[in-house]
Amino acid sequence: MIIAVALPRFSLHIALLTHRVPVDALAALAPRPDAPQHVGVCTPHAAARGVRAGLRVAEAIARCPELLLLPPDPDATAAAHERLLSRLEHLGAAVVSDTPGEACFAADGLLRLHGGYEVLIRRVHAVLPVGAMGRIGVAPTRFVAQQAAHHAPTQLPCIVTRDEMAAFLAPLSMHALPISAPRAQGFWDVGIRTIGAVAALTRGAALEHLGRNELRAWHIARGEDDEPLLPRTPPQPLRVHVRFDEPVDTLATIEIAARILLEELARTARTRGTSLRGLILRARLIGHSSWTREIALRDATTDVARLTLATLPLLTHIPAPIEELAIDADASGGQIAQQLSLASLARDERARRTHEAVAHIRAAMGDGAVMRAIPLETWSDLPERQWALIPYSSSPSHIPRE
Amino acid sequence: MGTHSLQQLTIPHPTRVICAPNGVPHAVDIAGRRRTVVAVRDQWIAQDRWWTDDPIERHFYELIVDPGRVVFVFCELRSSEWFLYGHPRAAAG
Repeated sequence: MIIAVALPRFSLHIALLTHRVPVDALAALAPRPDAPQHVGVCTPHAAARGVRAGLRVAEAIARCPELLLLPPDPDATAAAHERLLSRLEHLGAAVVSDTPGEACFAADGLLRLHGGYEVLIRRVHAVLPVGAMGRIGVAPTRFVAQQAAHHAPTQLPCIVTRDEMAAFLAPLSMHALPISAPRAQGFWDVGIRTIGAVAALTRGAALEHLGRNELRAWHIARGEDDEPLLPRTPPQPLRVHVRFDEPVDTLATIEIAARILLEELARTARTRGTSLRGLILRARLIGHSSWTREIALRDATTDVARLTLATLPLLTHIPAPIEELAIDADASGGQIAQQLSLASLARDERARRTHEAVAHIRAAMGDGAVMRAIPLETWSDLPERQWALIPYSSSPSHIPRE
Repeated sequence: MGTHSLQQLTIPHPTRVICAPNGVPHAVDIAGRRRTVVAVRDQWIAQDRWWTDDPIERHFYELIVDPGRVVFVFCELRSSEWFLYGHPRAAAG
């Protein structure tokens, strides 16, 4: 059996917590500055006033003038989602998750460990965030378990056995199936509105409507979803962050901060004997908002130049002044083989000696003993904004060439 | 993992400045000692961050104080408070 958990309106719930707004407020997620101006998920109270996700902002406010638009906080949402997955993994679950606030795992291997379904479900319920109205569904396939979780009451799990699957799925909207919008519209146009109607099609008719690429939806509708779960590899997170005394909107400053963080990440990964598979850039913007971008690296690496090349172009997309920049890295890559050079260059020798000298000074006088002055906003009229001090790094990018 | 912070290289410290009737600094308190202003080398007004809720409006002075040291001070025009750049003891020479 598969156990699925769902936290409804997860991103909205995080935004409500961030902005300290009560859950029964008339609130909805505001659109991002660079996105179409449509409201996001809304609270049930706002939904009762006619607001729904995807409505244009002007129309939503016309329907509900007291509507509170909360900027989404993808950074906090991702962090809360990761905490949820991590807690489930601490129960021994091999977790699969594609959507924030949702996860599922195979229960079969855990029953003996926890002493049966009842105890396991109680423990899963205990790891869900308090007040998030988490729901649990149990079913033989992933899709049915997910749907069961969506339709479960808050306190009790919704358990669907193999015999009950067809009856459970039949009345659900066919929009829940993993099919593209044109195919869904095609079904709608010919009066196929429920999963039961899709399941009643013959294979030939399903092929005609869905094509070979999306025929899996027909199998799912018939409860024949036998695709194995592919659980994630729990990440080995590394996190570095830099906090600014006052909001920074100068790209040069943000880039310098990012370089420092990447060097620190690469150094730590090398020390642990691992390499970086992916990065997540997070910026805390002014006004309790945040900006997040994920970078998947083609090969695991600790090469600062490659990390910089992948990271810096994305910083231009930050939409507002930032108060904090953080980089999370997945350091689950293997050790990188180092190709040694036969010839020792004078520059390398100088770098080695500098590194050694810096290490000696730091050991004697502390980390703050060796700093490096870098230009920030040399054009500024305010002297304190023109230059800054950063911890001196003896990595190659800081050593002058001959 | 570590937390970094960009440290400011030049940090303004509050100080006491005695001005002549025309508003120009006459003496500056540096590390508890009053230093008479020998000359004003330069002065300018800087306005920045005027688009925020916390705009900056400062009158800067580059002064030569007794016995010949150059110091930078500014008056925060919104609060009429005076600040001295650099550590007061270092500025005291």
